[in-house]
Parts: sequence; C-alpha cells; structure tokens
Amino acid sequence: MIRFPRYVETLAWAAFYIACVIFAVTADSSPPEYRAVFIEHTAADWVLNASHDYVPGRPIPVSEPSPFFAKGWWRPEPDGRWGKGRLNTIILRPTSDLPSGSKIAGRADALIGGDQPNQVIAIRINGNEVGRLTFDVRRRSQEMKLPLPTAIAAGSQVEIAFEATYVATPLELGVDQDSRELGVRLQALTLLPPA
Amino acid sequence: MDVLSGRLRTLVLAAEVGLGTLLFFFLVYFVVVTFLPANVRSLDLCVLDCYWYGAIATDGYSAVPNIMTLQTRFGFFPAFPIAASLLTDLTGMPFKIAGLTLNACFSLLFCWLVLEYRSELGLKSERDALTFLTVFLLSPWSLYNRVPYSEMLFNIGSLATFIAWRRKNYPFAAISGFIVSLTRFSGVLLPLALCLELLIPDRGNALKLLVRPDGKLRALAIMPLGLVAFMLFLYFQTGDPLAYVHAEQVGWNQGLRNPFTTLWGGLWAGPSTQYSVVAFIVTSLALLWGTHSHRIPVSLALFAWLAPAVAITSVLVAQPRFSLALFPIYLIAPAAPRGLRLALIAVLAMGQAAFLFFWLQASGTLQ
Repeated sequence: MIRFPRYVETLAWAAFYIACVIFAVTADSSPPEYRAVFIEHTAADWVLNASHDYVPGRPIPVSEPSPFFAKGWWRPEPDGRWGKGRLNTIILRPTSDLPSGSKIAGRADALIGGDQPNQVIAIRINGNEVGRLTFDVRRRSQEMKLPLPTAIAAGSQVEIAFEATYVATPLELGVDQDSRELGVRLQALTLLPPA
Repeated sequence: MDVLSGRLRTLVLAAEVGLGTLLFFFLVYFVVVTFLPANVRSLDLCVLDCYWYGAIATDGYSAVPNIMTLQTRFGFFPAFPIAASLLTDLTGMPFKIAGLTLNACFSLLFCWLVLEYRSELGLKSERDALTFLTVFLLSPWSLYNRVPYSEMLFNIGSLATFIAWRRKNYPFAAISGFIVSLTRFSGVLLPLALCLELLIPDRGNALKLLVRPDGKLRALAIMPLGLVAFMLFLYFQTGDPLAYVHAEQVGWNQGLRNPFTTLWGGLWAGPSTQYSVVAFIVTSLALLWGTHSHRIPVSLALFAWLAPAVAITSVLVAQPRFSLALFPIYLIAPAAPRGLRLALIAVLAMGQAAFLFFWLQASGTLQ
C-alpha cells in the first residue's frame, strides 16, 4: 500500500477548491434565453420564442415585458422603463419599410437630483447619432421626434441606442432609496413612417 | 445523579425560555389578529422570502422566472426548504405551518445548546445564558427567526458549528458547517472566521497545520461544501453554476458596489435606508465592544460582522435583518447592569410586538 505524505491532503483540498472556482467561472451549458437574460444581459425580459418583428407605427410596449428591450434595461414599470447603466439598446426588425422621412418619436425623462443637476442622452440608430436630449431640474421630461438617418428596409435589424452621459443611483445622490444605476427612462417610443 | 439532574435542569430551563418567548410571539400575533379590524391587517406571517421558500419546498427549483420582475427560485439556498419539505412529507402539514413548527423546534434546540454549552460562548453563568437567550429571542429582529425564513436554521447551524469546533468535535463541526453553507451564501464566512481565529494568534503553527493536516483543517475544508453542492445542483438544473449570483443580480439588483458610497447615500436617502445604516453601524460597534471586552468570541464576532458587511458591498436593503437577526451581537446583553437588562428585555419585547404588528399590516415592508 502506498503511503502518501500527510501534506498531500492539504494539496488535494487546495486543488479541489481551485477546480471548483474554475468550474464556477467557466462552466456554462445554459439555454440561450437564460444566458441572454441572466449572464450576458443582452435581453432585458424573459420572453420565450418571441420575435423581434415590429410593425412600424405601433408603440413599443415600455411598461410590459417585450422582446425589443435588449442590453441595459431594468424591469418594466407602470411609468415606463429605466435604462440600466450608460448604454441602453432596443433591437427590432420592422415588418414593412421605413422610408426616408420616417421618425423616431416618444417621451423620456432622466434621473436628476443631488449632485447631478443635468443629464444628456444621445440617441443613435444603427450607430448614427440622430439627436441629443438635455434634461435639467426644470426640464426633467420631454417629448422627442427625430428623423431616422437613413431609410430602413423591411426585415432588416435596427438597433436604437440611448447613451446617458451620467449614471448614478438615487441612493448615492441621496434623493431616493432606490439603489439601481439609472440614466434615462423611456416612457413611450414609436417608429413612425411618413404620414 | 447530579449530572442527570443537571441535564434535566438544563432541559427544563431551555424549555422555559424557549417556550416562553415563543408563547410571547404567538400571544402578540393572536392579539393583533383578534383586535385589529380585518381591513387593516393580514393573518399571514408568510410574506416575501417565505413565499419563495414555500414554492421551493412544494415543487423544487424548476420554474421559469417571474416575467415582470425576473426574480427566480435560484436566488434562495435549499437547506431550509428541504427541511420544511421533509416535515411536510412526514406530517402532511402545509408549508407555512411546517416552517413555523420547524423554527419553533430550532429555537428550543438553540436554547438547550446555549444553556448546555454556555462556557464555549463565554457566558459566565446560567443567568448570563438566560439573559442572552431572552434578549435574542425577544428582539424585534427575531421575528425572522419565527416566521418561515431561513434565519433560525442559519443561527442554530452556526451555533452548533461553533460549539462543536470549540469542543474539538471536528466531524460534527464539519457537518453542521456544511448545513450552514447550504442555508445561505454567508454561511461560507463561518469557516473563514474560524480559520482566521485559529491562525492569527498562532501564525507559527499555520504552516505546521498545512503540512500535517488534522481534523481541524478537514472540518474547515468540508464546511463550504454546502455551497459547492448547491452550485453543482444549479449547474445540472440551469447549466449555470453561478445561477444564484446571476439570479440575485438580475432579480434583486444585487452586485458589487462601493460600500462607502452606499452607506453615505443611505444616510440621506430616507428613513428606510437611514434605519439600515444605523443598524449596520450599531452592530459593528457592539461587535467591536463585545470582542474587546471578551463577551463575544472573536470568530463569532467576525462572522456576525462579515455577513452584513458583505451585503453592504451590494445593497442596503434588508440590512437590519442581516445585522440584527444573527445571535452573536446579543452575547453582550449580560454585561448590562440588572436594571438595564430588565429594561432592555422589556423594550425589545415591545419592539418585537410592534414589528409583528407592522409585519402583519404591511406584509413585511420593514425589512
């Protein structure tokens, strides 16, 4: 019978726990929808087998689970949906053409208060900036109606990105007990073809 | 004969303090539900986390997340729902009753352990042990030890681990430590605290322990296996061994944050966060004083501080629960002069009654 030195037990425990850490960090055989919501955060809602097809002119539902909300959004609330962190994206696929002259329209507000008296939100469509919204204590919420940079063909993927200049938690700002990192809140959004 | 009568006396005392404090809780409960108009109170003690434990105990972890909140069962450790589920299967009682019964039994066992092994906890006399038990079980935050939450299992598991460790009963310490780390994530902090207590005063022997491992090292290594087992289970259930962490992140907004900004912001954000900050500071100071005055064993103080401190690195919510529902902080109570002790017990008991009143009214919003 082979007799190992006693320190082998210590080494075995150390190796076991290192293996556990490696396993925890690297093992992932989760289904795509789980991975998108819980690990990669590329989808904001648990909507199984949902399509990204979007009928132009219809409001994007901001107060209920929707497949369009991709990276960087908190849960839907009755007053709209807060962006999580700096970059918040929406991905959709229009079912009909959005010709030149189409617009993105909606309403948004932003976290203002404490050490954060203003906020600027850049709006980009497929990487092209279409406009900026500036918020301050006197203008916490505003309507937007901005032209799309180019025509968009039916069936092509559209990424609408909202980028906040500042991100903070209401708790850090001392204005509320909410500890979520917030930038912009989307209250309504629609892609409008020309009338 | 003396040993036997001593044991019997301990059992009787444990039953007296355990049942007495339990009776107080349910007396207040019945007063509230009897005398308050039905429209301003609820009969249900099972709110918030209890709902999740009940769901797990009833049909396991296989359920899709809540589509509005993305909260999911993977955010909860399994030891308490397993125990409640076993009791449900054995007796046929519903989860809520099983959970309450389980916690009542655990609290009686807790009292017996404290009285039987008080010297391991640094309690100098039987009177000190009774004071500690009364203050702990009548404190407002012991409501979490009564309702079907995992707090009581966590407390008794930690106490049993500590006592077994101090009595050099390493196999038992390993088993109960395993249960603690299967009860809550912060359970893995107990072996860490025991390890630090072992190594810091005796750094010279650390290398010796590593070269010639014994029951101590084995027990410390086995204790976190509860967490490892849960991670393995999650991997087979979801494909993600860190599903617990991800569920907490997405569903409950947990995540690594600067604890100092969290505490500072919490001081100004409103009464609920101020209450959380005060709970953490009071706990920290009390544990520091308790350690300094040798009223609280170092490892228990460290454990009772690390558990809420880890939570502070994420969010402030539920901080009073994490800080004040754990038992070590109450070990300082016997140090108070007699008059103050009695006043403290009375104030805490009134606090528990008030907390229960709000719990039933507001379904646990005072977390």
